[in-house]
Amino acid sequence: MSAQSDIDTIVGLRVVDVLDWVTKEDSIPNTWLDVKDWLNDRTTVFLKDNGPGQLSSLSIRGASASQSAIYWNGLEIDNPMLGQLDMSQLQMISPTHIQLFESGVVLPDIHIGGVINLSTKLRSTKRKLQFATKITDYNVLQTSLDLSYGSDKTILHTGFFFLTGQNNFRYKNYGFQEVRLEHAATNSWSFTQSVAHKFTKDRSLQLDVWLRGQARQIAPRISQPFSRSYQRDNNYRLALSYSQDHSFFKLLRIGLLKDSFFFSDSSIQIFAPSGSTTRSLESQMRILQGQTTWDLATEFKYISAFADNYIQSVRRKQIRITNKIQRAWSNHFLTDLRFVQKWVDGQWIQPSVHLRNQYFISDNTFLSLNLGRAIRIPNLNDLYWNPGGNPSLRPERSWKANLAYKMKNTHFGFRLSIFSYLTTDWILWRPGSGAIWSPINIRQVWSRGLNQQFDLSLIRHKTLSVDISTAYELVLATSQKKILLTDQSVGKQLIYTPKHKANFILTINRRAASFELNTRYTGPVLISPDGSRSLKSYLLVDLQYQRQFDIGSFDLTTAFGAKNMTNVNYQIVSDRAMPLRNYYLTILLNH
Amino acid sequence: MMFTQKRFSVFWSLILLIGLSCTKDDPQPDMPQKTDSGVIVLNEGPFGTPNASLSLYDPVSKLVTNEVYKSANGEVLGEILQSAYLLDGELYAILNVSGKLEVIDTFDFSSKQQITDLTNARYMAVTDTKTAYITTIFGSSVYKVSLSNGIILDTLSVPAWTEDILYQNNEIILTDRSGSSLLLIDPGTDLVTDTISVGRGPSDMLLDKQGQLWVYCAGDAWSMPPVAASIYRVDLTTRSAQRIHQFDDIENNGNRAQLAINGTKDTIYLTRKDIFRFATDNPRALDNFFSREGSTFYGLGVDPLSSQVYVGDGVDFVQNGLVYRISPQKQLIDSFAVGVLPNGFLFK
Repeated sequence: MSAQSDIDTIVGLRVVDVLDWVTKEDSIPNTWLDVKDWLNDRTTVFLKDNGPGQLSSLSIRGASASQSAIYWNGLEIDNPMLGQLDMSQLQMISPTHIQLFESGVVLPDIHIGGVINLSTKLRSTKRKLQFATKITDYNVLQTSLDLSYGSDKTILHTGFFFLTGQNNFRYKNYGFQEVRLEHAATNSWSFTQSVAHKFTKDRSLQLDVWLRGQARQIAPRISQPFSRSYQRDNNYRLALSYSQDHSFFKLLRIGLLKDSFFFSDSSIQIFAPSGSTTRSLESQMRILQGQTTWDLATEFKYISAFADNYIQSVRRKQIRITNKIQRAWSNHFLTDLRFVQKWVDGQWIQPSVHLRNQYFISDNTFLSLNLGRAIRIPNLNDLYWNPGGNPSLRPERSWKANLAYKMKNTHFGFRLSIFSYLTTDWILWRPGSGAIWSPINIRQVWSRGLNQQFDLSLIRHKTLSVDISTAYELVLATSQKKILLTDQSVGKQLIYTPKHKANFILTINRRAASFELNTRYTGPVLISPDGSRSLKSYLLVDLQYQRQFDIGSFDLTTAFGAKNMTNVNYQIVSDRAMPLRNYYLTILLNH
Repeated sequence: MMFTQKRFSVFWSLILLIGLSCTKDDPQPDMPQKTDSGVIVLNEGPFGTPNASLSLYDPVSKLVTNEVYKSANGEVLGEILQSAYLLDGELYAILNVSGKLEVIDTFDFSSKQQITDLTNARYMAVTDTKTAYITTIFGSSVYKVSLSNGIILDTLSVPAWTEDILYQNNEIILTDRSGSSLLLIDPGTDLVTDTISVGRGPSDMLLDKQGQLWVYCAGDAWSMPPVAASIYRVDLTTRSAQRIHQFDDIENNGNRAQLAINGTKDTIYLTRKDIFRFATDNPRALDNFFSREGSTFYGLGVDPLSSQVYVGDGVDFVQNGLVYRISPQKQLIDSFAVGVLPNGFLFK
């Protein structure tokens, strides 16, 4: 996946990268990237967020978090037990490149939901030292230090990140009193080390290591301010990739992921350690024949996991074979067909397939129509959790259609995507005939809607620039099948899936100063499948002022910002406090 | 063409940023009733949100009023309404996750008192001196509470996780939920004075007209080998227990089951996957009283005057539930929608 952008660049055709796949992307050269904040501020993706520093899960186009995927330097880092990742854990140290693929289609796999791809982009550089710190008015301090050094052949990057604080932001309780959140303190650290060596112009080796740890108090719910739960996470991630740009053999990658969790709550007598280790070996090959390109990617994965709620430790062996054939029929028309076949613990899984047709109307405008079927195999907890796990679960299946139109020139860009997904055998945990919850393949969900983005440069001058960016997403994700005779959820929107999300960003840059206004709207969400309970819509406004100073050989940037300027009292997850108006100060020093 | 697209985008953005905030808020609950009679439905509420509620049903007019507590008090009842009891015109509601005992006026549903710091409270028995003993989930402690003063008198340490609780003949009887016995406590000394062996996982019990104790034992589907559910009859005088029923469908073990008895206390009803009943003088003749494909039976109650049976349907545990009202002749009289997870009924 780290080579995704290269691989998806159309060879033998005019050079247009296939941005119908990438809904949004950014390079983060400075400081750290908080992926949760980036998704909230820059995209219309919905995060089921329990608040700053707390658990947060991803929902893209009505798909569940376990139907989406997070990749880091080519490795899928979702926890195999849960099938998802807590988005609040993703504070990336620069230099990180982030891409959002709402369609969920990437080279190695086809996902029901979307994909977030994080990759370390090392560039040849002289020695560079960077220090950044951010402090919030709810007593959270984040600090990062990163160092790049190297030569034309070898580049090294070392990064440290540290976050600590009480996280005691102001919120309104049910008596409409402003109080500070208690028992939400969090401490986390990260260390990253990347080394890239270029043997020749085309051949290179890159090692990425990411170690992180976190200990946090789980913030109590508004109605339960005295509950006391704790969580400790440790993650060790390693990716070693050897790549060749212009030959049959493209890539060989070794991956190692190790996650451990410990959750405790003495009041309900839960002390739950769990953990998993994933080892993977991946290769990618390519054959070019005229206007036809054939990519073959294979991956072997071995997963082991333990939990108090597993009868014994669990192991999973998995092979994935991905074929992609791409043909340019003319200078204007391109087709590619992908076929993903998985073998899991001795069984072949139904294949995922995907067909893309792309028509280039002009150099800057194209239209694409994509059709496919995605498969998701159940995660380990679905299968083995005791009590309730169901080893007989079938994979979830989703038929997907996506029509995208995109145009871009120097002053404005416009993208419209219309999608329709029908997912069957959706795994749902529900009580059997009583109190023991168990997952079954029962739900059928139809997600359809549109996603639109418009970017406009109003003023582009040497000393002044003014840009606006707007985005809107409509997601109608409805349950299509009764799970019981008495089920009232048919035809209703899925819980925690807003129909409407929109944002508006105004950026003004004048000489060394810049100002940003960020406005985000989230429509009401249902919190009960029968539609009887919901959370209200909210509109958030953030402001930031930033100024840059040159001090000798140092480059100093300071930013002051206010979030939730209008002091909106809102909830993203029912009964979970969210911060009222709050402020932060960021200092960045480059040498 | 570009101009059209630009206008189109701006239109969408402005309309959606500004206009959609006019979406309707949560529906308001119905107005409360003030009445001396009716069936109070206990809606446990979903785990994770403080949405426990009370519904009031009038069997004559068939009128249902949901969220009567919220209407009367302007705030939600709490989280996980585990059980409730009628005592001297007051309703004592135990909120498990909220950790409180809420005392409610049964006429207008106004809150009269809250006793807090009852962590993980589950079920309650009240002695002649208005002293309540309240069990806790997972823990081996029992709260002793003065209902007259609204204070916690003591926290008793018991040798097991206790679940259901009864007061009979100056003894507190508790079920050892993770074991296979009943514990008997002397309320004078608060010490365990005796135990009675029953089936695995005793979870619910009641007394019949002859003072015999009937105990539902949920079994243990997750032990190796699994232990089936059973019903025991206990003679409290001789301290002896006799197994009356042994269920063989392992699938239902561990599921929520609830006992209820009719007004003359001679017919016992039981929810499992279906509703069963048996006469206390011929208990081995198990009668399949009511079944409904696709239902998730949860709460159970029998009107002491009409002997009509009320059964709660938990649907999927997160949607609003349903209640079925069934005649003693097994005819479905009525069904109505209530709050989430109707787990019990009280008859005013």
